[in-house]
Amino acid sequence: MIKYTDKLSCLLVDDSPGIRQVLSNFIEISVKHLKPTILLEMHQANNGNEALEILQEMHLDGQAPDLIMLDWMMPHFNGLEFLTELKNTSALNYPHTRIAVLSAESYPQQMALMLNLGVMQYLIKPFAQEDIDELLNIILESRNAA
Amino acid sequence: MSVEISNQQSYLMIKIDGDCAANTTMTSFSTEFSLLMEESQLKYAIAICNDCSTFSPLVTKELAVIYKMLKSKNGNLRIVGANKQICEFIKDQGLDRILITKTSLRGALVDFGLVKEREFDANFINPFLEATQRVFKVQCFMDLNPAKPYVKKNTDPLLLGDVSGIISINSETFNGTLAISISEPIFIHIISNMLGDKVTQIEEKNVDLVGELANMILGQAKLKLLSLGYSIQSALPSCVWGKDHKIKHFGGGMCIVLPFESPAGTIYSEIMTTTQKVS
Repeated sequence: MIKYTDKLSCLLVDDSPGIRQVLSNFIEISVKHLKPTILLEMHQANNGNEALEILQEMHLDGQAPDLIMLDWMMPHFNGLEFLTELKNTSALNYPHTRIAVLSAESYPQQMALMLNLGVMQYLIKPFAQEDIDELLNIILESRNAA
Repeated sequence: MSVEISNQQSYLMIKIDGDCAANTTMTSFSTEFSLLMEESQLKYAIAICNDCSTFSPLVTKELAVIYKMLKSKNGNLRIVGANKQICEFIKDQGLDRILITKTSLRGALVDFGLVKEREFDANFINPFLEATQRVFKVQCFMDLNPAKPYVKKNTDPLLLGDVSGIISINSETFNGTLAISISEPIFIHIISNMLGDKVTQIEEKNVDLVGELANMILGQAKLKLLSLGYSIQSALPSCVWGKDHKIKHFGGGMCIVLPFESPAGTIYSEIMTTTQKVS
């Protein structure tokens, strides 16, 4: 029986339930490998609008995710709209929350735009387990340093 | 900021780099251009500003002078790679009908008539071949071997598999669709690999992965296509599924089939053009 000493909360925002499942599996494997005593809490949203709803619900309990994995191209409320809205809502800007974009879009201009909006890392689909390991490692190390 | 003018055989290239804001010092480049234009006898020019964040009135003035020189020789000027801020600035200066912007070099060359109007560019194939192999290797843990591409006949099925992911390919000079078409047993094998779990049937919650694969393939191919002068716009993928699904791509023009052999069977990547000719 694992005794959990800490919690890592992730919010996955992607319109593809299949991709959210793949990503969720990869994150679980990474956390098990990097820090097995961390309890993983996973939230999922189909678009930016749903993601903001989840963030507000968490905010009511004084909580925020450690990591938001965000798709760029989504119907209804895309990654850019989500980021702009989040940036303009100071109450939801928790300093420990890191945002990573996971997108099939590979144009440097779009990547630069996202990074200017406070995105920590831009991952291009297809993504491998190693990419997620690397990302989670940065998140866990930054938590240790804080 | 820096400006470099070079002879590209059929046109003159003006490469503008860095910050060109009003307070930046800038020397006139229209004089140098005039000399090179006379020496080369070329009448077309393309200003490339991919690495330029802003324009000052001085830059637009210099470009307008160049435009007038080219026009006097029945030539023209195009601006490629301008960001939104630059496009708006040109418009605010009241110069957007003469300093015309294009998203790709190819688009500018087509405007000048330096690139032939064609329905299908054979250079299109390789980026998709490489992208399909990479996506399946990284995301599906599957090695694909490309077989010989062929042109789809009218008598062939509309789509060759049972599950298909379709995405639009839209650029200034090419419009069409990409479809990834896979038989049901192979798709079940693929999603089992992707999800790391034995999947027994195709369902709503996993079928969208075929659209995601098409999206990833186009995303990977886009960078290579950009270097060939095709700036592809973003699009959302869709998926169709069901035995003998009779859905045509949105194009309806010529269709190139790229078959790939996998340990589980054949996977088809289809690139279709729209029926209208592109220019």
